[in-house]
Formats: sequence, structure tokens, C-alpha cells
Amino acid sequence: MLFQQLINGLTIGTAYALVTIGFTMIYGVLELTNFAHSSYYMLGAYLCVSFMNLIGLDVLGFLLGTIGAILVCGTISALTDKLALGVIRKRGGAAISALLCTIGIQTVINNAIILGYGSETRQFINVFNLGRFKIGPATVSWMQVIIATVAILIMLLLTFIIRRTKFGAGMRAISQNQRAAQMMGVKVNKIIQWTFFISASVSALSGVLIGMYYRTLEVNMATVVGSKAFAAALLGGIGELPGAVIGGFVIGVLESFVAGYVSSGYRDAIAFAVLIVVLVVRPQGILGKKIHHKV
Amino acid sequence: MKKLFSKSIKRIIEKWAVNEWKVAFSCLIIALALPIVLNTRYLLSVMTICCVNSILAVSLNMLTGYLGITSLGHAAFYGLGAYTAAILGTRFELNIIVTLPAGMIIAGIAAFLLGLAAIRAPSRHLAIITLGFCEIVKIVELNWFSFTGGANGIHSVPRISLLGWDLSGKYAKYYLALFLLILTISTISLIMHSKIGRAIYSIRDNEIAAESMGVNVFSYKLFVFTFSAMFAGLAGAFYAHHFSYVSPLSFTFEQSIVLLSMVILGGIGSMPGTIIGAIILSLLPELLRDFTTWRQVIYGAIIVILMVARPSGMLGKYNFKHIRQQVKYSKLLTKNENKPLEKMTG
Amino acid sequence: MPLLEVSDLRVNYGAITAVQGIDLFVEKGEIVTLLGANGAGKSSTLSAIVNLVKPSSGKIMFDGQDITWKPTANIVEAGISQAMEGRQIFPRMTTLENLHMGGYISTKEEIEVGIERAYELFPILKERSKQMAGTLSGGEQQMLSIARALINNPKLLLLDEPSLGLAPMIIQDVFNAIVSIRDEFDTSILLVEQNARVALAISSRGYVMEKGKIVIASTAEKLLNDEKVIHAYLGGESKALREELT
Ligand SMILES: Nc1ncnc2c1ncn2[C@@H]1O[C@H](COP(=O)(O)OP(=O)(O)OP(=O)(O)O)[C@@H](O)[C@H]1O
Ligand SMILES: [Mg+2]
Repeated sequence: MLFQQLINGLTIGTAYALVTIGFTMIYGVLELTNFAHSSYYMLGAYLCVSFMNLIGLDVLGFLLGTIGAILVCGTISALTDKLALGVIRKRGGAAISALLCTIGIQTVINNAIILGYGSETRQFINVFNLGRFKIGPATVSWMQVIIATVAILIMLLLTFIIRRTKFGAGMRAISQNQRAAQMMGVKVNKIIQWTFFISASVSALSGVLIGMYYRTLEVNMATVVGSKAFAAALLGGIGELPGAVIGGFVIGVLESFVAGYVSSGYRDAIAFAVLIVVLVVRPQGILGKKIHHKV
Repeated sequence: MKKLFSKSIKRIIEKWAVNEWKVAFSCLIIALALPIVLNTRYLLSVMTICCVNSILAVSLNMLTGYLGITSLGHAAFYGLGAYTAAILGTRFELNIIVTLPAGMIIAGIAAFLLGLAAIRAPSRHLAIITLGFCEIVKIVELNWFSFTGGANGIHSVPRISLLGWDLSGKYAKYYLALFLLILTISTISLIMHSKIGRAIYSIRDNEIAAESMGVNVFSYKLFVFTFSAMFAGLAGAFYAHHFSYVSPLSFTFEQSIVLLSMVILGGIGSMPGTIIGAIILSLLPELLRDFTTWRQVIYGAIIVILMVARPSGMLGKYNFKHIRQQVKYSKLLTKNENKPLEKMTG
Repeated sequence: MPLLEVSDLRVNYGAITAVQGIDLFVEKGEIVTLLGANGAGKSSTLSAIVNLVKPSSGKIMFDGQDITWKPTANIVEAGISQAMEGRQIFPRMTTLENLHMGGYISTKEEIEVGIERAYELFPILKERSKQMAGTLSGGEQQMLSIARALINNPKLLLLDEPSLGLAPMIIQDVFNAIVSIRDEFDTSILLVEQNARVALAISSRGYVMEKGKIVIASTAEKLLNDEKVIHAYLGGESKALREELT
């Protein structure tokens, strides 16, 4: 029972972690809380199903559908920066204006999905059908293994990009001092747009994976995951990739334990209560370092 | 063309800034007289909602605009006020003389306790802490069935009456809401124009500097957080009587976001801006009623377009006090153009 | 043709006009000083040259190209580098990583060479190479900022108050470094300085800015003997003032 809860929690946690990574990337670069971020999670899942209906309900259809969903979500996200958020930045709008703008974008996407697909729950066919196996007392499905593997690969890839590539160096430079980054020859807007692209792609991918895991699509899946990702990001220490991953796992596991042992009605309440306590006691997050500002 | 447009806007804003009191007074007269024209039940109800939302936005603006703390949980205090009034009204048949202050007090106590624990946290954490608090309150409202009615909410909250008078008519409700709004605006304005107000601004502008000048940052933050929540509780208590029905779904984190949008859209830190933002975002859903399905999409798109067009909100860039000084200064200059400088200063 | 030629440059911040139509030029291999009181518009001029602040009008020619309103990244690629006012280093990167950022547009080999030269100019940076830049002392940060601007081997270096906040002994080091940058790397330099005497001593020409306008343009030698300049920027009492006082 305990072990089973842990495994289920880790699976949900993986999804939160993936969504959180994208969220925290944008926060890291721009200090912008992107409310539209979880919308790509939902949009990705819906688009993938649409593409599968067009291409075929098999593994190939799923793979192509996933790629299509990732590309579409990434492009939309990059465009929102080019056409809206970037403009606000250029005009020197307050950070909170950009935040409200992302709320507007989120409202448009979430409701466009309701418009396009209707608000009833839809089915997401699992094309793999690989079954499950047992580890001791707990049952693990192969789908869970796939999710974990993909998630780990994505995390490694992103860590590599941020730590080891020129693109990543540009990102880090922008996050620390945008003007100086420009002066080094970093093409700031281009890098920010790509960051939006990557962040939304990862979010879309996790939407696809979790949609297939639960075999359903719901119009509230974005809002459900959105505040969790926000919480996970802060819990891990915002702006830190490993922090995002740990934050996501902690929230996922915590949630599944509360649901298993206390009451599923109060599941989210207790998760948030723990979050509040952690943030009050350890403001820099679990992994975040205390930043000493030089005055 | 564009220049001409921005010039005329500038002139209007200048006029407005110079005659701020007159403008405010005229607005009040209009608000008082409006029911003569807009006299259907529907229109009056929309206007009442505008007042309620304005109370919420103005109080949130005190926290977010004046003090600089972004709250995503204002709806929680709104909901606490509403549930307090609904429970007191249905179980003990108390009227608004008791329920409105009670709503304020309960919301205030909740904010005080939350603030006591968390207000020291950095501002980006407060956003999620208030969000989390809002979710917790909603979940409790949903699950504590015996007390809150769960998802069904609480029905038949008593109609508004005061000292035996029935104030539940469409006109009476509007004027009561307007009165509460004016009460909120004047209380907050009074505070912001006092010494306390200056301390609050100094915290927003530079917390460390304020602290080093002897401003007790923690107490002021706690005070503003509590105070702003109390007015949200007031709005909630009125809301419960107005609709005679409360449900947890009215006080979600999404509602907090709508409230925050009102503040930002109008121009963060500007009282008239906040009210304009509140009125626009209260009317917009009504205006878009005919587009049922497209409504939310258009709503979102309008927010995006407005923010791109005016990144500081509609009035956010204008500091009326500043403008007044500038106008005064330029008038002095033109008057004394030919006189030597000594005469002007001495 | 001069390396850099700025004509009728204007910079506005909303309603404030910071630079109101200035002309200046820098020849190849020259060090030119830009003097002026606080708020005169010196930093705004430098920022406008690289389009960190968008000029509202004017023309900027560099190395035969019109670079007005070009993206900053392209201007940097064309060969202008700037050490900005107030040591704009990357605080959460090490000294070495900061230097690498300086070579963002350069190849690996160029960066290696550039870092070697930077260490020669400022040996202390080599000792601090693994330290987080945010924890360096003010003077060390200033040196890092100058060194970083040199990594991509610019044709023109803009220096905004390089001696700000440095101890007198180190100021001399920095100015020696500036001269050797010009001599060894053939880099032209446009220098904004409050330390007018030292700056003019290593410059061939200078400009004096007042309230967004250039009021004097002359050789360094003449400026060093100019009544107004002495009075306002060299901290000395001019003859006229002395007579007035007595
Ligand atoms: N970002 C900005 N927004 C608004 N006004 C600005 C901005 N930057 C500079 N200014 C104004 O422009 C004018 C020129 O500023 P600038 O920084 O160019 O002066 P400076 O000559 O470099 O002064 P200092 O010697 O103090 O560095 C000043 O009046 C300043 O207040
Ligand atoms: Mg300057």
C-alpha cells in the first residue's frame, strides 16, 4: 500500500516535474510567472488526439501526433512572446502587466479548447497497451516506466542545453543581467522566444504522456496542473531545474499519500498547507540557495 | 494623427488631475442619478455588481498597488465574508447591522493570522501562499458539508433589512452598495493621505531603505494585508445578502485573478484606474452575454490587447499629484516669463 | 573616414530629452574622452551608439557601415564593445564564465587568446577565476567588466567611467591598461570619465557635454588649459575665478 502510493505519486510527480521545468525556465529567464504555461499541457494532449484521429490510432500515429502537438504548442507560445509579451517588455511595462497578459493568453487557449472540442470528457486511447508487472507488493504499469524514462531523458537534455550550450549561456546571461547580455552580443529576443518554444513543448509533451496514462482528456486539466506546477517551482527553489524536478515529485507524492491515508477531498488542501509551511520556514525553497544581494 | 491623439489625451488627463475633486464629485452625482435612467432590475443589478467588484478591487489595490504585494487570494477573504454573513443570516436570522461587520471581522482575523505567519516571506512566495490559502478555503467550503452546505452552497440568505425596513428592493440594494463603496474609497484614501500612507509607499518603493528609516515594515505589511482583507469580507457579506445564495465556486482562485486583473488593467496604484478597471471587467461579461460560447475567448483576447496597447494599465502611468505640480509650475513660468528670477522666488 | 562618426544624435526618455543633437567622431587608433557633469547625457550617448537605448534621431556610422537602430547584437558583431556604467557583470557566474560571455560572438580559439590577454592586463582576475563574480570586490568587478569587453577583440571600445569607485593606485593601473589596450590591440577607445585630468592625459581629443549638448570639442591639450574646463572638471580654480574672489 505504502509502496504503491509512492509509485503512483512518483508518476504524477513526473508530470508535475515536466510542467514545472518549463515554467521555471521562463521564470528563470524573465522572472515572469507564465499562467499560460499549463494551457499548453492541455492543448498538447487535445492536439495529439486530433492528430491521431487523422493519422491513425497506432504507435506511429501517436508519435507523429506528439511531434505535431509539440510543434504547434511551441510555435503558439513563441508567437505570444513575439506579438504580446515581447512588446510589453520593449515598452517597459511592469512585470505584473506581463503577468496579466499571460492570464489573458491562458483564458483564450483554455476556452478555445472548450469551443473546439466541447466540455465533455474525452477518451485518449492508449496505443501501447503494454500491461503491467509487479515489484514486490506493488503493481507498476509499463506506461509508468515509459513516462519516467521520457521525463528523465528530457530533464537531462534540458540540463545539457542550459549548462553546456551557447544557447544556455545566453539564457543564463539574460536572467542575470539583460542589458549586459545584449552588450555581449546575445540576441535576447530570439533566445527568449526559443525559451518560450521549448518550455511550451515540454509542457505539451507531459500533457500527452499524462493524458495517455489516465486515458482521458478533461477541460480542467490545465487549471489542476497549473497551480501545482507553480507550487512545485517555488518548493524546489524557483529558477532551478533540479529544484523543479524535486518540487514536482514532492507535490505528487504528498498528494497521493494524503489521498490514500487521509481523505481525497482534502488532498489538495493539505498539499497546499504543507507548501505554505515550507515556504514560510524555508523561503528559498528546498534546493534554492539564499541569495545575498550586494547593496 | 497619433500625436494629436496622444496630445489630446494628455490634455484631458491634465484637466482631470487638476480638477480631481470636481471629477470625483461629478462621478458621485452621476452614480447617484444613474438609476433614474437605468431603472430595470437587470441594469440595477449589474450596477450593484460593479460596486461590489469596485470595493474588492480598491481594497486589493491597497495591497498590490500601494504596498506592492501581489495577492492571488483576495477571493478567499471575499468568500469568508460571504459565508460568515450567510451562516449568521440563515442560522441566527441576524441582519446586516451584524452580518456586514462580522464578515469584515472574520475575514480580517483570517488575514491577520495568515499574515502573522507569512507576510515576511518574499513577495513572489506571497503570491503562491495566498493562492494556496484561497484553494484551502475553497476546499474547506466544499467539504465541510454540515457547516457550509458543500458544493450546494447556502440558500435563502435573508433579504437585506435594517431596523425593520426592507432594503431588498432593486434601488435600495444599489444605493447600499454604492454607500459601502464610498465608505471603502474614503477610508482607504484617508489612510493613504496620512503619515501611514507615506510609510506604505516608502515600503513599496524600497523596503530596505524604509526599514532603515525606522518604518516598521512588518507591522505595516500586516496592517495593510488585514485591512484590505476586511473590505473584501465586507463586499462578500453584502454579496451573500444581495444574491441570497453563496457557493464555493464564486470564490475560487480564478476569481482572485479576475480581481487582480481589474487592478492591473486600470493602472496599478491608481484609485480611479482601479475603479475603471473594475467597472470594465464587470460589464464585459454582461456585454459579451450574447456571444455565449465565444465570450471567454474574447474576454481573454481583450485583456491581452489592452495590456499590449497600454503596458502600465489605463491610468498607471499618470501620477495625478505629479501632474498637478507640473501644471502649476508651468503656469508660474508663463506668468513670470518676463520677470527676473529673484522676484519669483523671493 | 573616421572609425565612428555620430551626427545629430538625439535621445529621449519619454518626455525627458537626455541628448539633444550631438556630433562626435573617433579616428582609428585614437583615445577620445567625453567629459560632462552628472546627468549631462554621456552614458545615454554611449548606450545610443550601441542601440541599448534607441536614439530618437541621428545617424551613427561605424567602419563605413550605417549602424543606426541596428540590433545591439549586430553592432557588437560589427566590432563595438562597451564596458557599461556600474560594472554590469553577471553576478551568479564565475569570473571565468563572465569572460567567456565576453566572447559570446567569438570562436573558441579567439576566446582562449582573449582570456590570456585579459589575465595579462589584470593578473588579479586569474587568481579570482573560479570565484562568483557577485562576490568580487568593487574594483575587481570593474576590472572584470573592462576585461570582458575586450575578449571579442573589438575595433572600438566604449568605456563608461572605468575608474569609478577605484582606489587611486588602481586607477593608475586601469589607465595604463587602457593605453596598452590601444597600443597592443589597435583598439580605438571612447572614454567617459570624471577623472578628467588623467583621462585627458592619455587622450588625443576630448568633448565636453552639458545638458545633452556638446559645448566644447577640442584637443586634449587645449582642454587641459581651458579656463572653463579647469574650473568645472579639473577641480582647480581658474584664473578668472581667482580674480573674482580677490
Ligand atoms: N532610463 C532612463 N529613464 C529616464 N531618464 C533617464 C534614464 N536614463 C537617464 N535618464 C536621464 O537622462 C539624463 C542623462 O543621463 P545620463 O545617464 O546619460 O547622464 P550621464 O552624463 O551619464 O551622468 P553621470 O555622470 O551621472 O553618469 C539624466 O537627466 C537622467 O536623469
Ligand atoms: Mg553616466
